[in-house]
Amino acid sequence: MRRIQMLVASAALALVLAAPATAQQTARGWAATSGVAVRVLNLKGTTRIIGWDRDSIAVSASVPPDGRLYGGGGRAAVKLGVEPAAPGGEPPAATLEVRVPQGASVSVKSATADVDVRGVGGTIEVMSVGGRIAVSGNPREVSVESMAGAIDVVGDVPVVRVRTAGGSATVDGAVEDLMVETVSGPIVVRSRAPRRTRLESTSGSIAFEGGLAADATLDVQTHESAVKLTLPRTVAASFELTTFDGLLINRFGSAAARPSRGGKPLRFTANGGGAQVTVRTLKGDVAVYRR
Amino acid sequence: MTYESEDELRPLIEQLPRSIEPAHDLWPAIAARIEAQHSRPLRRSEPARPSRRRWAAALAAAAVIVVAAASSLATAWLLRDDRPPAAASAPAVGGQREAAYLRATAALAQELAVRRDELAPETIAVLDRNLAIIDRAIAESRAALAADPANGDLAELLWASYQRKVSFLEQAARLATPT
Repeated sequence: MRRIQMLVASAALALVLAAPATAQQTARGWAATSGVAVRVLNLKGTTRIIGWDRDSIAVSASVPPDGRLYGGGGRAAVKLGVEPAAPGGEPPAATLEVRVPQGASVSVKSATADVDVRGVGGTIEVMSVGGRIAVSGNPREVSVESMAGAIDVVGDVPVVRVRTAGGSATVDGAVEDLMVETVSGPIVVRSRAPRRTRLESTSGSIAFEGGLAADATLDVQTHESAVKLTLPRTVAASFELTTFDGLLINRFGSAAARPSRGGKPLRFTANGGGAQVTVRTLKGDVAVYRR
Repeated sequence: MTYESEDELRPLIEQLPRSIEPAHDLWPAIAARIEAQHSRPLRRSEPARPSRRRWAAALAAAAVIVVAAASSLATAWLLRDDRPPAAASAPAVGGQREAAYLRATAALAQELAVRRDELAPETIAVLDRNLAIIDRAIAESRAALAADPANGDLAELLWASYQRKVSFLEQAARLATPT
């Protein structure tokens, strides 16, 4: 009997000692308007924002003992996040899942936390140092930037702005107005009939695949990285392709189908023209393919 | 970056001012607060009275916001009269527009240097690696434009690289700013 008591006491002690190391599950909620502005700060761990068909915000979080969930605001604007439990402490690595009204606008800031936003219809703004950023759905506008993290935007979005230095940037969907800029990260865009597209990188490769609206502009610029455009054979566009120290390959059609280099622009018009395609690079290769 | 280009750039860089103060009356007070904070850093273990910490945090946040705004204004001011050149009249290397970009990037780099210690080592590594890539691109574009000063496409590539450096430094400063 005494032995059992000792065992139970030891087990209880072990539980008490182990408890502080266990992440705490926390849940909070707020009533909100359908177009509420939500600001989220979670520097480490994971942040997931999900649009739902209710006019309320629900947060479930797994927060380590050295952190705490905070939040507040009114029906039109709510700010929430995870912060160190003690002033001056290190940011805790928390898992945060936030459900917001589908029409909400969301702003998220992260350091290394991965950020996933889906099904949100307002404007989405995400800033991260090194975490991966994924946005999917049909928001009104997306603006994401990272120093080193990969960025993926999937969906039909009127306006998309993507900026990352070393991470990759992928955009897949119907985007009317698109700007993607990297320093060394590769850019991949698959888009249906965009109207205005600007893709720029210093040393990251750029691949664009998709159609172009009749009055569209596609401007691509790199310093030393390759550019690959794959366009439908029916696209009506005027092309101006320039590389100073790279190879220029035109596989789009018979017109001016010559490889060239040296900075002399290759200009040609396909299917009567309409859209304007401009590629400019100092050292990168430029290739145009027909889909 | 090639040694030739570095030699070319060095005299220009040495002519740059060590700092550029935004033309705004708030700046002296902000600078004094920042200076005060840096001259008396709080150790993490150092206890502080809650009210003082709140005021310090509020002042720091206000300073960060105003500094960021001032930085953007300063960048806009430095680049205010520099429209993209017409292809037919590409400016020579070392002209007024390049000087404006050099001033802008130097000011932003200095601002970022103040907060460099707040960044994680891996972030600093990414920052330095990508800045080196941009600097190399600037040097190479600059050399190409120097050899063919009337080429508007080369000028556009050079200005694009400078603009990317400005954008990158501004982005880094934003990311280094605590919310």
